[in-house]
Amino acid sequence: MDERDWTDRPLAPETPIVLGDLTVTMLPQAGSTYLVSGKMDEVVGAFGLDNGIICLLETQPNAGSFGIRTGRNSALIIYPDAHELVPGWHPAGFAVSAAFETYETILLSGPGSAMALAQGGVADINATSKSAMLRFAGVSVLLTQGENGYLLWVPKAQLTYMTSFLSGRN
Amino acid sequence: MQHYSAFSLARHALSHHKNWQSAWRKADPKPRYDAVIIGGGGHGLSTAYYLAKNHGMKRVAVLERGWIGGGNTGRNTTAVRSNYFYPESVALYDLSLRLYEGLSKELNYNIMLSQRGMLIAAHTPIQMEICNRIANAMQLNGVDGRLMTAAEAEEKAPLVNKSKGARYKCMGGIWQDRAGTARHDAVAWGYARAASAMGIDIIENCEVTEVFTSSGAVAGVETTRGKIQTERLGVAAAGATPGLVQMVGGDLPIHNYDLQAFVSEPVKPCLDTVLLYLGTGTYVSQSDKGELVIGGGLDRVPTHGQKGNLPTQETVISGLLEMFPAFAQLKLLRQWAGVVDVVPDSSPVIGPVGPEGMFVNCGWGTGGFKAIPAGGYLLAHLLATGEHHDISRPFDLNRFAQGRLIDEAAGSGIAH
Amino acid sequence: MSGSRHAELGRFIDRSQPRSFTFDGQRIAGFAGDTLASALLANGVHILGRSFKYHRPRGLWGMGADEPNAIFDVRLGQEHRPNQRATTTLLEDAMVVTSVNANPNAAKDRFRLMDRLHRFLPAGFYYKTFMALDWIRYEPMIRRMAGLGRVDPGYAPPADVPHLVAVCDLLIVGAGPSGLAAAHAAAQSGRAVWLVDDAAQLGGSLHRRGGQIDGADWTAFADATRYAVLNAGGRILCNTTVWGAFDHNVFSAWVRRLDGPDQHMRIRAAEVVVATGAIERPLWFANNDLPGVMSCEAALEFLQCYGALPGQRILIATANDASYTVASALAKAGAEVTLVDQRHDAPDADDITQIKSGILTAAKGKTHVQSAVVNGQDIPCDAIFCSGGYTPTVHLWCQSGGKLDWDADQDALVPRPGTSSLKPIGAAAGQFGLKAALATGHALFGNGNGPETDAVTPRAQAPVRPDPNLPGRQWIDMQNDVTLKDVGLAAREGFTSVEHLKRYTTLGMATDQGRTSNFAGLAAMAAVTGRTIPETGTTTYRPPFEPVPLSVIAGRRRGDLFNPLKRLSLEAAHCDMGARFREYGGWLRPAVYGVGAEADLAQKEAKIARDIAGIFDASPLGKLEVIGTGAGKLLDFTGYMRMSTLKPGRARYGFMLAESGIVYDDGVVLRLDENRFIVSASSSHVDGVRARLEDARQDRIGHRHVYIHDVTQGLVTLTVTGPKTLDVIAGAGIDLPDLPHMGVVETPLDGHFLRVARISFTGDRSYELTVPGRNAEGLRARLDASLKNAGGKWIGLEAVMILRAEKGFILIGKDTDGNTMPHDLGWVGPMNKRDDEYLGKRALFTPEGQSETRRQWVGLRVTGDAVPETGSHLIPTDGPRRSLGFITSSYFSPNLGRPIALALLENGRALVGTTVGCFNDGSVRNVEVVDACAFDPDWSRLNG
Repeated sequence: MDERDWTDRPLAPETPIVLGDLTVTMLPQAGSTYLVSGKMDEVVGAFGLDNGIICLLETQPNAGSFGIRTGRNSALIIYPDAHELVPGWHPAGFAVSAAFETYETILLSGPGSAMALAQGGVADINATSKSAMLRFAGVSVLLTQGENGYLLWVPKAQLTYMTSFLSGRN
Repeated sequence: MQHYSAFSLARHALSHHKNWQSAWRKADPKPRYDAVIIGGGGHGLSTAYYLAKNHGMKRVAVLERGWIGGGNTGRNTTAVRSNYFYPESVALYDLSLRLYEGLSKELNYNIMLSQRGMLIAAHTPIQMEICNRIANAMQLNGVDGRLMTAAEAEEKAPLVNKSKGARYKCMGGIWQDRAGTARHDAVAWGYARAASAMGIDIIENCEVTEVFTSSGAVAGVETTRGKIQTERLGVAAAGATPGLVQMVGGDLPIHNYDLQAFVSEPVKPCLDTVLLYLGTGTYVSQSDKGELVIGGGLDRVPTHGQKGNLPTQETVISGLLEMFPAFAQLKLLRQWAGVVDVVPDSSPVIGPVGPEGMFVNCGWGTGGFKAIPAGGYLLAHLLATGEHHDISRPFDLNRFAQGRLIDEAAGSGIAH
Repeated sequence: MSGSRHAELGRFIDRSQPRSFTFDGQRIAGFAGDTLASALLANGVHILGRSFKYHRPRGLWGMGADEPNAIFDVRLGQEHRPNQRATTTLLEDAMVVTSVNANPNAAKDRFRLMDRLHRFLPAGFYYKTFMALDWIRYEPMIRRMAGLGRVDPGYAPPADVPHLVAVCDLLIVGAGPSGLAAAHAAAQSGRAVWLVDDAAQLGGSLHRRGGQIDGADWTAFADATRYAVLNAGGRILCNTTVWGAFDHNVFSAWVRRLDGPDQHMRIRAAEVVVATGAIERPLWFANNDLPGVMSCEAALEFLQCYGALPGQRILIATANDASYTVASALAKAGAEVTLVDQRHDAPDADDITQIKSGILTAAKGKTHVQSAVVNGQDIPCDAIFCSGGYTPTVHLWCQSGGKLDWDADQDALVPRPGTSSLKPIGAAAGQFGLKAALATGHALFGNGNGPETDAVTPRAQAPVRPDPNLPGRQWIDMQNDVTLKDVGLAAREGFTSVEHLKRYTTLGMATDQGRTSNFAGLAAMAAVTGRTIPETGTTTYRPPFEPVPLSVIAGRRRGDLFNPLKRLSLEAAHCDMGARFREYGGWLRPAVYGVGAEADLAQKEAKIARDIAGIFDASPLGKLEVIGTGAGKLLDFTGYMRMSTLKPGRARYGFMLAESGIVYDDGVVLRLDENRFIVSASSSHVDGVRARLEDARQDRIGHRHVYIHDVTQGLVTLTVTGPKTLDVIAGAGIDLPDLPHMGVVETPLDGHFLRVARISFTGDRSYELTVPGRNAEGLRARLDASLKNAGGKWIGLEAVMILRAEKGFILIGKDTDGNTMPHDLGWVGPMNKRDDEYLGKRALFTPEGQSETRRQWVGLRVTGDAVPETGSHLIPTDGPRRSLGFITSSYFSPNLGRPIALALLENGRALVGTTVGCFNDGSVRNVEVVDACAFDPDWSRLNG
């Protein structure tokens, strides 16, 4: 049996899928991302971030570097322009790994985006949590907001599945 | 014991069925018995029966805190089989299947054993290799198991998912001819009736509150219906067993979880065999009434709740429809859950525990129904002789300290 | 029963939109808004089905999920749904409706003669007989007689039901009078209310009973409530059934939509009000199952809501005040009504023939009601509507753990306060009548007086019980054909607990889930055994509240949304290169490349990989970065082979054991610097390995000294292997640093990241090249050109499995069976030498762990070309047959030109050089036990 019979291609950047009142767009990857672990209240200073660490459903800053909390002691930090960090142990007490394309970002926009979130498992769009990580459609993703809608940070290998899930295609 | 048959049914019809006797005596507890069994489920009742039948012990009581057969025996998905990997397991479950094969006649109670076969279906070449491994193990252990091809599987279950969009295409799997289903309530009632007819007291609404000992040996139990003395105590109480064993300072490696089962509205015959899909973890058969009987994995939170929650329901039922898309035409009629007593190596614990004269038969987890005859047979042997039968010896509690696990999940290479 | 359509009545139907369908071939006309039941009733169709066992003719009894008889198979276009309840199925034009379990149809069923045999077929008769032969000989006939509708084998409904999760502050289940009053008061006080009802419109029983609220028609109050709820930020869900109460205040709801797929909702509600009303009880008398016998409440509903007048000469039998409204309405609609009330102090009924102290003892008629016997007298009629009182609908209350009390005054089991956090009101709490409904609803959230009504509070219902002394058969469970005599039989045979009664007689187990039978069964059993109703108890209430389509619960989780596979970043490129994919360890990966038989392609690929070069995509291998001053310590504890002694820039093969000592995973650990390691877990075990590392990290090592990052998916790894590897890599313009075997280095490639690890899974010179995802296509393209130039091939997993097998390398889960310990695989060093603690250590030293008969990893050699089957068992060449182990991997080796196999064999290492038997499906051949490494045992090709 050829599994390709039921597969589909993942979202490509800048070719949005429009489904009624929901639009699903993949945002292009730019700059660099790192996974850092350590004392979270010292991360901004230690890594010279322009903005702070955001959590579940908080709005991402328009410009500058920032972080997204992924756990009690961990965050994903994003530098929109390329920025080199030395991977490994930093004596100040941080562990740093280059995340490269570990996450792809999907924008859910339009009036139907709340329903899309409800399908994935987000019962309350006013909920807060220190971490931005949650199970969405069975996958561990990060959920934040942008100026145009909700942002799902999806593990790369799950992108095709997430595209199928969001696009309602069965 | 009034004999059951078509003829006696007809005869009683003439007197409007007013002369049928109670299927089992509603006994009151006596102060003393030669053996007491705690637990009036399938295993407890079959233990009583085999004590009387095989060992001539009749001054025996079965103590059940609710109504007989009301625990897992009354809640399971009725599959019987012996398609296991390790010789010890095959010996155990096939003893049970062989006892099931003669049981209706022996008990004079129709337990509706339907040996319609069972397929454990594989979806990848590596799964087929493992199925071959299990089939060969069964054959070497003298049991009817064989590898089935995709074409044969489709013949056995024509409604299986063959569409292009299927997540799991059936490549065949392990087939056991003699596997099938039986009517779960009938097994409990049949054993109860036969045991009661031989003089054994079945005492319902009687909960054990204490086990008392004397000089390191069992002396009796305290119950909500009075004190009962005995020197031989068998415990076949599934999830309640660890609590009872703790009363004598014992410890069993058992955790309790909910296991849900589901039944659809009844339809005309649409599935003639028992089918388990390795990929979905869901299994299904069709009852004689026409209902689909469906089961799957545990609710993974330890509990005595007997309820179960939505995520597991969604998982199991979506698994069913993935296997059989046409069954999406049906509706869920009933759902229930039992508490399964799970042991780390997924094999039961049978043998002495605690003070002298006390024996357990528990830890069957999700697989106790098929083992009711063997469990009773072996616990009866322990109670009557004080010794293990060859078949129960490997399942003794001491196997954990020895490192001698009988890990069927590991042996099948499936969940590891 | 001569049903007809009233000229004006029918609030739910739209007479401007006619609709029609066929029922058993007969064309039936109706309107938009009709259900199948109302249309059939209005068209005077009597026989809608046959009972399960005795095939007696059956007509309509009820109005909703309590309907036990009118069950149909419904086809609309290519859609087919079996077992649809006529009362809850909306009529759609061109539906083809057929009766079930009747041959050829309900009206003319051939099996009606079964009823003559009823004496031989009491409850549980099958336990007493069918023992002469094996059950499976009787089964086909029994199964054909059983079951209601049919599955259409050719129709697969789409998997299009979305699952939605939601939270709400206040969930009110039921929008009848009490629910409306509660919602109104709550919304007025500013609460955001979710008001849910399973009908198409708010109002519940008000639609049929009417009533004045606050001096106006009740519809004004309903509208005001709707407005208030929406205004206060709430939601209104109609056509929605809340069918289950689960732990932690989660409720399941089935939302039926006409303009799209249904929805399944999981609602977490902070507060829940149960305003689910009550279900009417039947009366019990001889032949109470005749078509034409119906619930009073249902008759009223059909009349008022659908304009379906169910008869012309109607006898109403009751013992409660609520039925008087029904009598009046039917009389007003033009029917001739006789009202029989059991009570001697019954109220007077104006303009209606009335019999007080009247006991209905039998219905007469062949296929429908022709007369009723009251106080010994035959009264001609064509319909009998009866009411035995009402049973509060307490399902959700009980599902949530709530207990019931017997209220003798109300003659009902009612919620016991304080046993559940749910709040029952109105009829659901045993408070009957419009006044009580409004008052109890309002009292929950409102102050002072709530909505007022001048409706009279009905007197408490007089107790009505089945009388076992009546001659004739009285039906308790219509669908499953359980009579009052069966209850007596069950009691006689000792099945006196309600659970035993239910299982023995199957009472309450039909598709109406005991709505009209459970109370009777309970009351009858109580009477027969001399117990009170509370002493007899009830059966457990479980979800679903009413049957829910499996497709709703299953949702969209099908096909590629079911256990979704992880996908390679380069999947599209592999496709373009001709890859054929399969699932491996949770990922979709190329099995082989090209067109033709898979086995042949795998052979070719494995050969070229050793003759020239091969490249495969190894991206799924875990990349768990373990970073910190405690990293070495962590890996020493969680691993069998110590890693703290590994030098930076080097790699080491290792195991992770489970607590039971078995090999949980194997893989290579790379050390990049003093405080940085990368654990390359098997692709299928990445999450599991990470979880175990985390466990030890948090509990044992100290979570500030080491952290774990999973970057498996951010990078792509392409592995180049074979004698021409260096040429291929150089030809791709990659300046490869000099690396020893098991060396690793990070070095930029054209300004971007590249990690090179010289690790060999094939036994040939081999390099794993790892780049970020965004640079992967670039790397692939240049390697591809160079590979083609050299004459090499892209190889898939099938070839890789052959290559590693030629070297005797294990695959976790295939070559280890979950009892396999590290020393079984030949790795004895750490067990013998390590005296520090590590995961699984203790288990290695149990008697079983140290046994001399453990199954050990070996190779097998056969004569001839026939490849032994994987899964074959090894047996002694003589003596009793038993399993000594089994073949775990077996291939034809293109590089050796002969079959090779690997196995776990009892005491295997000591048996090298000897012969054992190999058993597969009954046939046996001999095999020689050899070393696991079949190809290049000197490892000379590693540096080739």
